[in-house]
Amino acid sequence: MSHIELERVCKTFRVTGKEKGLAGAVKGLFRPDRREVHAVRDVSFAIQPGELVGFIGPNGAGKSTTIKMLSGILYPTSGRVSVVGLSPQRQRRAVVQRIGAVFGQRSQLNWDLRLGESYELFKRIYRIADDDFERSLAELCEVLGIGDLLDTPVRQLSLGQRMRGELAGSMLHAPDILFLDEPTIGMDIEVKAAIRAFIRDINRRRRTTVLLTTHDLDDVEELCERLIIINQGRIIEDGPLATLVDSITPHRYLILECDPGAGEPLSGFAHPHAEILERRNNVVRIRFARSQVSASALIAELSAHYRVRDVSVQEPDIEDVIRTVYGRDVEG
Amino acid sequence: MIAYVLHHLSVGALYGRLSIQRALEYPFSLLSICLGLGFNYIWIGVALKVLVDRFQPLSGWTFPQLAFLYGLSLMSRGVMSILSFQSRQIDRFVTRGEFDLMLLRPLEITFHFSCHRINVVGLVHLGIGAGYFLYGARLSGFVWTPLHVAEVLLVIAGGTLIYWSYLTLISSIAFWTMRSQPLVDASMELMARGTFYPLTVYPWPLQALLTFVLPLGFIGFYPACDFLGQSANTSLPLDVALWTPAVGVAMFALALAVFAAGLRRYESAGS
Repeated sequence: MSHIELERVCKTFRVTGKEKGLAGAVKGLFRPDRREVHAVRDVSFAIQPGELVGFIGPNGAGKSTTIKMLSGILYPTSGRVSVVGLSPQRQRRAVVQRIGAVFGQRSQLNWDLRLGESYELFKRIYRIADDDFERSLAELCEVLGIGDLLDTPVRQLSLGQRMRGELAGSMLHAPDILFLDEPTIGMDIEVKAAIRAFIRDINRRRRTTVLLTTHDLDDVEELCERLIIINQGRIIEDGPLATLVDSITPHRYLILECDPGAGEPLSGFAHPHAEILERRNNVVRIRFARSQVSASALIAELSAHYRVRDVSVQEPDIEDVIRTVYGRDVEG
Repeated sequence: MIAYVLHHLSVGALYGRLSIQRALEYPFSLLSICLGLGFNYIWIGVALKVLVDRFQPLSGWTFPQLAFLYGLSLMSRGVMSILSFQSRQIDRFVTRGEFDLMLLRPLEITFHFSCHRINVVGLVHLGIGAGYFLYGARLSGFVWTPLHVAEVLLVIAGGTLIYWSYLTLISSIAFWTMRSQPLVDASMELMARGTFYPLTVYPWPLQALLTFVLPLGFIGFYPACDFLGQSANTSLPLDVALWTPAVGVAMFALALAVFAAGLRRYESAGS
């Protein structure tokens, strides 16, 4: 059974547009410009237990709306949503007992109290047995390095400390599924690394299914085996990260350093599946179609005709992949 | 079912403890609110006493009887304020998307919304209300029998439900309109006027409004008439101590239904 299933899910909001200025505000009173915004359109996907999936898209693409429907906060306009085999809307309490969630921009910790007191509250709310609570808290404190912070008021924590506190709070009741919405937003490199290590750890050791929403592509690259890309409310790509990269960007790059005394580098070069993108001094950047010619064959061919001092192969950047997908979707 | 209720009560108790701790984090703020509120209530009582003693009883009600009525209403308001101060702030929760985190917890949402912040200041309403009530009861011939004590407790419970439901109904309009705070503020004023003075001081359309449409008269006025043997103009069958909780439960059911319908329309807020 899938842990998460969406079948042709749509979510439409009714919004009232206003023209600018006082005249627009007055006009809006009598002739409101009501229209529908299709935040999520016909979205279908399934996630199996233990998967760690990146769910990405530009701002306003429908990521948060989808996660809110999965966690029972919003009702879909149409379609079917199922989480651990239950409806988050009709069986909300049973579903949320088995999920954890961190919304990077919204804290679930009690601002005026000690960090440990928020956890005490979660223990009561989720009915966690004393032994389980102690064990889980000790483990989370160790992995996230927050043991010394339990007696600190939340308002005195730094952003990174608070986010680690949020992650521990969302995992105390050992949920089957964890929704993470921008967990690394605004963090420094060290905290990002700690958070990524934690996510990897709970996914591997506890087999927690993780749906990760992020704008930080390093999160995706380091953590996700599978990527779902949403834009303008529609799923535009869904598949293993490596396959997506291959299918979306079929090109690779060769960076060649030629002998400086040999005139213009790679003069007269012509190849049916490769082209020179850039010549700078004695360094040349070549793009080639990976499915048509292998990097080793191309290097051998070039070495046979030119005096090459050094060579390196460059894989496409995931940012290029995402940019290509978003751009393709907008054009389409 | 029992385990379910006990679980919720246990969470509510912990929220209560944490709310007190949180209030004590800012002792000056807490003290100034309590002093301001206490002074305001005492001032209202002193002004009323001067008015009644110098001129004439208010629609046949002496000051001790008015204190009895005022105290009875204030105690219900105090309990409501302690347990559900935020029911008047639904528009803030709607516009800022603050129901999101509450919906993520395996608790009954109405209960969670009501008890997630216990309002310590409500103890001032309750304490001063109890003071007025005891003063009025002593001087206006209220007989302390076990039955009367039980009836008073029932009336306070029913009055609390009426207050809560009234505010929740008005405040829930925000689910449809996004904003309800101005209407809530106006309703609070009406609530103060409609519960602290005998309904008989108002013209009959207003009495009818406060009895049959917005039944605020059942919070203090009708029970006080019954306990003190005052005339209410409107005669009700059965003991009024049963009417107040009955009206409270009916309004509570209506408020729950409207709140639940509103919550289905909840759209959260952008992230």
